[in-house]
Amino acid sequence: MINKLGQIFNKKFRGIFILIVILILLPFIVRNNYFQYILILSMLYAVVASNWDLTFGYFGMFNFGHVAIFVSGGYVAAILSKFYGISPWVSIILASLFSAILCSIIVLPMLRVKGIYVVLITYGFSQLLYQFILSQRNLTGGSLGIDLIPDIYFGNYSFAQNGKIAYYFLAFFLLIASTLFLTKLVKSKFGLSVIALKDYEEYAVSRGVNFGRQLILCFGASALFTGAAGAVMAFYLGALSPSMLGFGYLIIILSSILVGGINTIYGSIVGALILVVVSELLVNIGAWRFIIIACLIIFIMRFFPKGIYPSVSKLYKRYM
Amino acid sequence: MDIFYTFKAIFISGLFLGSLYAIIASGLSLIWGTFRMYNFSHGSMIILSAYIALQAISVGGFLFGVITAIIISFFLGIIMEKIIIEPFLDKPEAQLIVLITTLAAMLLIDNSIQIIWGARLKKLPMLLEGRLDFVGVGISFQQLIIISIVPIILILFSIFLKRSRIGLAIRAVEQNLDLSLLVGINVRNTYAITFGISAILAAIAGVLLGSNYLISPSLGAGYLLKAFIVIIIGGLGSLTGTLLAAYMIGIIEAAGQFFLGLYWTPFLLFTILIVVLTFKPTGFFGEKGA
Repeated sequence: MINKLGQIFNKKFRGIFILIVILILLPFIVRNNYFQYILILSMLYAVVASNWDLTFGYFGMFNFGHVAIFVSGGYVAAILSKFYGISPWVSIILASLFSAILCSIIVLPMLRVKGIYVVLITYGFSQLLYQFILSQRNLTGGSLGIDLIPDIYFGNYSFAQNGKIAYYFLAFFLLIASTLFLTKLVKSKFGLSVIALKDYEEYAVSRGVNFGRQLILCFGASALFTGAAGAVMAFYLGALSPSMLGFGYLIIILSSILVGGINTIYGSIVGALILVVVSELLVNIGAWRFIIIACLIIFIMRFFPKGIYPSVSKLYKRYM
Repeated sequence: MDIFYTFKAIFISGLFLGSLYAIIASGLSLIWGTFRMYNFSHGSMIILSAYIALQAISVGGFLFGVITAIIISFFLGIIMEKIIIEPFLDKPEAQLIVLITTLAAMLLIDNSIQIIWGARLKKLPMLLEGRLDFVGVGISFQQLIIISIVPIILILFSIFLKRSRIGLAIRAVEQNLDLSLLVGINVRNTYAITFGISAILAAIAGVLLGSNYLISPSLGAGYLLKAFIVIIIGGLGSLTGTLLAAYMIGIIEAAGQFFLGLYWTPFLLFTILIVVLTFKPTGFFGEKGA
């Protein structure tokens, strides 16, 4: 037992453990609503980005529809709880399942095509979803978006109390659960087969890896926590807008994978934290915000093509 | 209303849309053919050149404006290639990196336009005022000019690609990179010039679009998507395929807007796209393995 605890506190996990403790204590130390908002947002984005890394990085598919999965999860949860009176907890689970099923359907044309075509199919899907949201006005609120989404209750405790602090822990829990799920998945036999498919598809297939099955399962798995994150986002903000399907959102989350480092689950989490903070700091300067983010992306691609995570982890190994 | 009139009207408006899509998609198709890369910033380049033309027209008249827009776009294209594409061409995941950097360039251009010219809708002067009666359907001179000028521009463009030294170099690089290096073609410069030429096509598209529709900074993405559909259906890298597909999509879209309405036309286009990709992934005129 003590031996095992010792292992947990060994070098590799010490940093993560410290980080978790800091994140749990942080909202009690800094009691600032805006600060808390940025943290919640960055944790939710971190969930989306790290799950996106599974299909984008590990499977090597140029998937541009991941934000659409995130948004669809949010809309499903919002509609279920607002119009059908389903408990938010159940709607989060249903939204997550719905996203997984939807994602496994979008992936079907990708059994036939690869590379640049995947960009088109997935981006086309997100545009279709946008058109669908605009046209189903009485359900989705059209271009105005959906609002007055009910709050989550735990017993009698409304999550909106105490400056929405409960949402912080919900998002935090989601991030931990999703990261555990992803790291286990990537190291499992399934994860190895997915990496093998990316590295050398013909050989992997000839060794008995089923491309179609792994593709559908991998996309489905990546949608589970993404849909749930969308649902939590919907309940936290209380409103959703179809403009989330625009390029601005897509670029921020996609670049958090690339800035953090592709093919590293932790990298995209670090990247999401950095980008959300940067983009929120710049929120008052209007269009300059995206210009600065664009320059940042080009700069990182030019000088840190593997993302900043390898450099960060080198620093970590040297000083911890 | 008799049915022939409807079909004639749909055909002409489809031809018009098709001409616009042809000029928009040809620049994208050129980049795909030469670099084997997808340029996300092409739509924004189109809108940017429309704004440049607008500014220059207010200074020195229409012709001056158009020529200025074309020249500035050419150099902007070359600068862009040097900054966001060339440094990455040797990297193992070049295709992915260029996808991201051109996406970033798109963000950069769209927001720069918004800062310089503001988000309000703007319009270029018409090419020519007035309407006329064409095979029983009313059509503006504007539309007639665009329908007839686009094929001429694209034919000139393909003659340029086939005959001129630069055009031959572009096609050589497109077909066999190693041999082009061997016979002494400066591949780096050829890439930059290709990007510049694609920017010229974008500038022409921008002027034609801006003289016909209202322009705003964020319009690029929508046109980019249409161009994307066109080059995929036509076959990536095939210029003839791109043109035929552009007219096909134009007519289908015009018919869709008439019979299905504005909301469902995108669904129709994407359904066609997914069916084409599923049963003929190389498009109608694409090369094998493109």
